[in-house]
Amino acid sequence: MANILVVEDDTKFNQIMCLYLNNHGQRAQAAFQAQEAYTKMYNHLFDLIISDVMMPNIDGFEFAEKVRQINPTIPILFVTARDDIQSKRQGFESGVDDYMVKPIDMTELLLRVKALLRRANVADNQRLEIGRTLMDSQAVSISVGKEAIPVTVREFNILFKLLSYPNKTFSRAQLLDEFWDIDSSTSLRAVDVYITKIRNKFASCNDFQIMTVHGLGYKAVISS
Amino acid sequence: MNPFKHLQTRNSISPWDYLWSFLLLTVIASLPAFLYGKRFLQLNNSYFKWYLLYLVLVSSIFVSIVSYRKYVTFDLPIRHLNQATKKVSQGDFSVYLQPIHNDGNISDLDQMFENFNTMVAELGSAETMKNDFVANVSHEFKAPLAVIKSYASTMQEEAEAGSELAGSLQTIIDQTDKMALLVTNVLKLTKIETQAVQPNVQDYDLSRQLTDLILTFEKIWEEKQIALQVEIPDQLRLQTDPEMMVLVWQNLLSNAFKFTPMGGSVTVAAKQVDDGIEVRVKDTGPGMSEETVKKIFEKFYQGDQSHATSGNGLGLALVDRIIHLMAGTISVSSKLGQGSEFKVWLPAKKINII
Repeated sequence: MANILVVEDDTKFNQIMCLYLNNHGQRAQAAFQAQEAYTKMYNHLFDLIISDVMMPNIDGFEFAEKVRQINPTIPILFVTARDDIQSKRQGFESGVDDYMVKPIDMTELLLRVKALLRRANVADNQRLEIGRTLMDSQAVSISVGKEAIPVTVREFNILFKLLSYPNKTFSRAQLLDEFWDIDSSTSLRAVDVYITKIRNKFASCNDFQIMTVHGLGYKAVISS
Repeated sequence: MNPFKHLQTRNSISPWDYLWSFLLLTVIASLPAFLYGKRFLQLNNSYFKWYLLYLVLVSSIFVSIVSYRKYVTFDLPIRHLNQATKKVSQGDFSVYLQPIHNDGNISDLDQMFENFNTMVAELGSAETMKNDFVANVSHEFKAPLAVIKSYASTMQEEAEAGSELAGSLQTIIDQTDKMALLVTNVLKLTKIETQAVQPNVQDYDLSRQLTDLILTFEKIWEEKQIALQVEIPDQLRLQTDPEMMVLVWQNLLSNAFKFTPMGGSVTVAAKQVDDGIEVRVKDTGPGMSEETVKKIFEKFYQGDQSHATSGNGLGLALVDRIIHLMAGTISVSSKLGQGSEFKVWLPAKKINII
């Protein structure tokens, strides 16, 4: 569970982002202006900031720059209607880590938030239960029934991502993002290798199946 | 964009100019001798040579003074003006031309500079206003869309999968996406057509971009049971503007999925060719007649005049403009009843975009 500050002047949009994040195991707080965000940041510790760009008084760029001066490591995610190149460039220059263009996909928002948190090494303690299979992200352990199945961190991360979004296909490159700690020159074939290993380890488990989506990637299908 | 951009400007004085002024001076200098000299033909030969040499010197001094004056009072200011106009045409409105005379002796060139400065300042503020306007419109349209979409998708999570409610919510989500793409298309197209947008050329992986974009259509191909064939190598490096190319693929893919009927098939293939990269997007939709193919890249043209399949007739116009901007090509082959195939070629080497 991570503490997330949502800075967005559109009340309705702010509410829904907070609601969604809270529904999915995060602890989100709303701020409707940059000034309010500063005040909240004095009183609370946040693990991540989601911010709009076009806001009254202090805009997102200025806000991000200020935050960066005080806290150089906190992940900042911009959610904005502006998709022009200049503002993107400006966003990254002011120290923003990721960028999403409105209207956003809520699943994608959560995916990106989680990726940013992982990159910032914020423990995101989550448990996933599929049939008899139980995944614990803090202990990096998987058990099927009473039997614990030994997995490496990478295998765990890939499987966790796939099972968190059943029936959604992830490209091999997207799954490779789970290895963010190793250099980007790693071949996509590495993902195939991990998938084969996972399939072998869970061959006897019939709660889910990992399907190959030809030419694109993989998806997890939960057996009904 | 500028047809004269590779022509070297030339404004120094050539040997021919020198020869002409020499001849002219010789004629003028020898006029008195012609008119009043009685023994002109008996002119001493040695004197004549000295006289000629004298004229050579005089004319060269004359020519150099004239060319120097021309250079200072005309060529130099014009060169400054030329450089300034070049900058402005590339979208830099911070140009200011220093007047040549500050002592009240105002020449035509000074006035021209002053007018130029005023013009550029006006253009600059109009440009800023236009950019702000585009950003504002985009914000005003997309903010409510974002609210609609996020509430619908949150509700959808609560709704029972496969229920009528879930289906209705999906329709709301799909329509907001369509609306958002429309807003983006309109604004981007206006931007590309009204000004020289500077593409932000980067080296990036096209395979990743294509795969990620294809995956955003997963719901549609599942719903319509479309057989999707993807032939994309692990990596394809490309040097263009990734943001603009997203719009190209988004429009081509969304067309392909839109026009392919239930149970049809869509093929997306990308490969390295000799001098670039080729991407094919093929569908088994209704196809187009030859006449339609000729017109699809025009603005607001829709093959289906009944507007039965929603669209706005802007997507392909934008695709066409972007691809031209990236120095690539796009071609279509289509047959009525058999589907269409769009083929995009992009140069592999970084091109200098003006």
